[in-house]
Amino acid sequence: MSSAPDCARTSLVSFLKEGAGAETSAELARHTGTCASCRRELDEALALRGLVARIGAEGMDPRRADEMRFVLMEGTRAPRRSGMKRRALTAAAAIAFVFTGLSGAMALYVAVSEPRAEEEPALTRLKRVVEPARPSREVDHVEREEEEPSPPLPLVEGPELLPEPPVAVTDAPAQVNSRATAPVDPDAAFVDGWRAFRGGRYRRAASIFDRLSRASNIDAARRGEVLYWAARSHEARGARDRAAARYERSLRVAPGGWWRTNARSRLRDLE
Amino acid sequence: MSAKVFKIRDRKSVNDKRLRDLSDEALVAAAGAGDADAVGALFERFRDPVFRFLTRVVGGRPDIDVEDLVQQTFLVIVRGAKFDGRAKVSTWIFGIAANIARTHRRGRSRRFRFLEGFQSARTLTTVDADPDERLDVSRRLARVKAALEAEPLPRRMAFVLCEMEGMSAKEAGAVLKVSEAAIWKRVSETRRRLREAGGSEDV
Repeated sequence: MSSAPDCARTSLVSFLKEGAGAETSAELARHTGTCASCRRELDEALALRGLVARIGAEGMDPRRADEMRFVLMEGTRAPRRSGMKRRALTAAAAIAFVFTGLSGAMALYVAVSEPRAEEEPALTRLKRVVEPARPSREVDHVEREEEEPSPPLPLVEGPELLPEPPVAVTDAPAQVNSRATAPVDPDAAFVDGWRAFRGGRYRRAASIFDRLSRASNIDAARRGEVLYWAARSHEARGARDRAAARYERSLRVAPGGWWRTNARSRLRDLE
Repeated sequence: MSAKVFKIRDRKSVNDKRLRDLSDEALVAAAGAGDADAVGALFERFRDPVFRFLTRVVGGRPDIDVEDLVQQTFLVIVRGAKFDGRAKVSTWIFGIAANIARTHRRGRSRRFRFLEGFQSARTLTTVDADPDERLDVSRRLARVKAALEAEPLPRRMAFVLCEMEGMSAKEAGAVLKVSEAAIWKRVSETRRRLREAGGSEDV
């Protein structure tokens, strides 16, 4: 009999799982008809089963899941691609040195050493490096872009403006501005920004996320997440200083968040 | 070759279908080889079971970010964890998640764990303040949930895997790296405690 309770317990699990066979069920029914302890255990298990199934039954929030999947995929893709590109560019630098001398090789070498910006073609990075007069024009260009009218954020009829959290603003006034704006619909605005980001419209995405980060009706956790995606958008556009400022602020503002690991890593790359 | 001429959209939809049709083992192999789309597909396939498992094991506390633990689980895979094929892919992934949950728990100070245990016990006491009241399902659920959260992590994980995720004792043993007998012992003990906490009425 000593093996029967073990067999019954194994069968008990099978019985409770979907798809237990007829033979297993019959064996269990015979055994529990005579074994009081196994009968009691089966009754307890059945009584609890429906109850505990309700605990934590929801899956991930689909939007968060979409963001996380994106970050995981780029984390898989980027290191390999950058590794291949680095090797290719290093080989090209060696060839360039033979034909053009030191200046050509240095230009390519610097392009290899540049921290990668998301989806910025290597040729664009190279142009940015070999034309040193460009950076100031690029900053002007970025600032002019900021002055262009941004798409309005979805607004809500809502409560009075809440006081802005006391966070120090360490970057230029035109960038991360702590002035509170009217209440917005955070979910709708985030979806707009996320779609723009995924569609490669980084200027639009940065504008939306920047404005959403100043909304009065979002909590610290959400604000941090929005700042993270604002930073991602600015980084994708090549605005490294703005991106770094937003990464720093996102880590300061939010108490937690799955995106923090990536934010810290990207901030390190930018510094 | 004309086969190389694809519209991006067509290539993506063909790729998605290809990934959906892949077995778990093939998907893990592709992800391990650095296929980003395979990583995405693997995440889509297992994100909800992992999220539910981690929520049930460590969730219910405002200071724990279950989404972060989910990300950590898949980051382990992305960063090169090797699937040796000895168990099912789901068992392997749940094993990673269980390690993440254990590591997360060990990383917190004893002082906070004591406070949490005190809070869980207090919750039970509060819920049981009026024993004369007739229990409805929501109250029983709250009791059972609190009792589950008060269980030690090893017992809680065994119970969640067997009773809530539907694993066999053998699979759960492979996830938690303990024997089948140990799994049964933990599940039985937890079941007994939850039954006591929730009352013996049928649902």
